[in-house]
Amino acid sequence: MEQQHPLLQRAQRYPRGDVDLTPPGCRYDEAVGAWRVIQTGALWVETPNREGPRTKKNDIETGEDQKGQ
Amino acid sequence: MTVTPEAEQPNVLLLAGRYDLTCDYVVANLRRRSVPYLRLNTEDFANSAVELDPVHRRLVIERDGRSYCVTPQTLRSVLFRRPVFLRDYGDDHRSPSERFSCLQWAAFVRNLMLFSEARWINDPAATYRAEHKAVQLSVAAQIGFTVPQTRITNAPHPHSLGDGSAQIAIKGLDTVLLRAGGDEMFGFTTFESSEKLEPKHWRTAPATIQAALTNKLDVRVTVIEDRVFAASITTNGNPVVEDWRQHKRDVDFHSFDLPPDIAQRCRVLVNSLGLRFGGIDLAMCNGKFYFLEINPTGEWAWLVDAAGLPIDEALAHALSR
Repeated sequence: MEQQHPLLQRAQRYPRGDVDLTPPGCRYDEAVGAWRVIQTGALWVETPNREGPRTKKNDIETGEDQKGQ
Repeated sequence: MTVTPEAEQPNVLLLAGRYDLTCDYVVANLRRRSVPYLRLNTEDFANSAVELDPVHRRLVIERDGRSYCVTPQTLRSVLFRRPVFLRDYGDDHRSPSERFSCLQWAAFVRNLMLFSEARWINDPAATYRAEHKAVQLSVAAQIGFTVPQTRITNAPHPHSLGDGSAQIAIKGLDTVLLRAGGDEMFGFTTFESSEKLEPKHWRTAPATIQAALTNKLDVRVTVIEDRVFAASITTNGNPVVEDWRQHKRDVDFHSFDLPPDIAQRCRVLVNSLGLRFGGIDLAMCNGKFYFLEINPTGEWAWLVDAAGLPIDEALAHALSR
C-alpha cells in the first residue's frame, strides 16, 4: 500500500460536526451589520463577558484567514 | 436599478461573512465614529437586489426597503475579509446550485476591485501575492529580517538544511485542511529529527521544511498601516515548545514591547507587500527575532480581548480616514 505523504500522516483528524456559529442568544441585525443579544437588544460585541472569539479563529480551523468559501 | 435620492452612500464597505464575528468589532467602532458603512456578507446577497455598473462604477443595493449607492466619489475604504483563494477541501456536500451561487458571489466580491481609488484593507491582488509563503520569506529576508533556513521541496533529506539542523519544522506550503467523510484533517507545524527524513515518501506534494527554532518565544504582531501591536504567546508563563495553535485553550496572550527596529521592519514588510494590514508571526530565540510568516487576512479579534490590544480601534481609524 502506498504510504501517505508525511504532512497527511501528521495532520490531526477530528470529527467535523455541525458547528453552530451563532453567538448564543443572538440574532443577526442585517441593517446594522452586527449580532444583537435578543434579550437586551445590545450589540453582542459591546456586551461584557460575551463568548468571544476567545482564540485565534474562534476554534474553527479554516486556515488563518477564513479562506473557506 | 434606479438610485433614489434617499439612497444611503456608505464611505466604508465591509466585505465579510455573517459569522465573521471579527467584523462586528469593526462595525461597533465605525458606529462610535458615526462613519457611514455597509456590511455585505456573501451568504446574505440573495436577500438583496444588487446591481454593479462597471463602466460608470456604481454599485446599487436594495434590501429591506433601504437602498445603498456606492460610487468612487463617496467610497473611502474597503475592508476585505473574504477568501482570495477558493480552496478545494474535498468531500463537498453542497449541491451544484449552492456551489454555483457561492462561486459566483465570491467572484462578484472580487470584482469590486474596480473601486480602485478606495483604501483597501487589503487589496485582493496584493493579498493573493502575499499569501504565498516563498514570496513572504523572500521579501522578509530582503528587508533585513532573519529567516530560518528554509526549503520547499518534495525531496527532503537529512542534510537539506546543511549539517547543523538536527531538528526541523515541517509545514504545508499552503493550509493543510481536508474533509474526509464526517472528519476534518488539519495540519499544524510539527517538529522532527532531520535524520528521520525519508525522501521517497514526500514525492506526491511539496512541503516546507525549516530549521526548528527551539526555546523560542512566539510573538504575534499586527500591523495596520503605521500602527504596530504585538502580543507574546505563552503557556503557564513559559514559551510554547511547538505549534501554539495546538494548545490554544491553554495559552496566554500578553501585550509585548517590540524593539523599535523590529517594529519598523514589520511596517516595512507590510508596505513592501502592498498591504495595509498584516498578522505577522515572529519567534524570539536567544534574543534574536525570526520571521516565520505573515497573514494578509489574519485574525486579530481574540487579541483585543485576550491581550487588551486596541486593534479594532486602529482598524476603524484606518478605514475612516
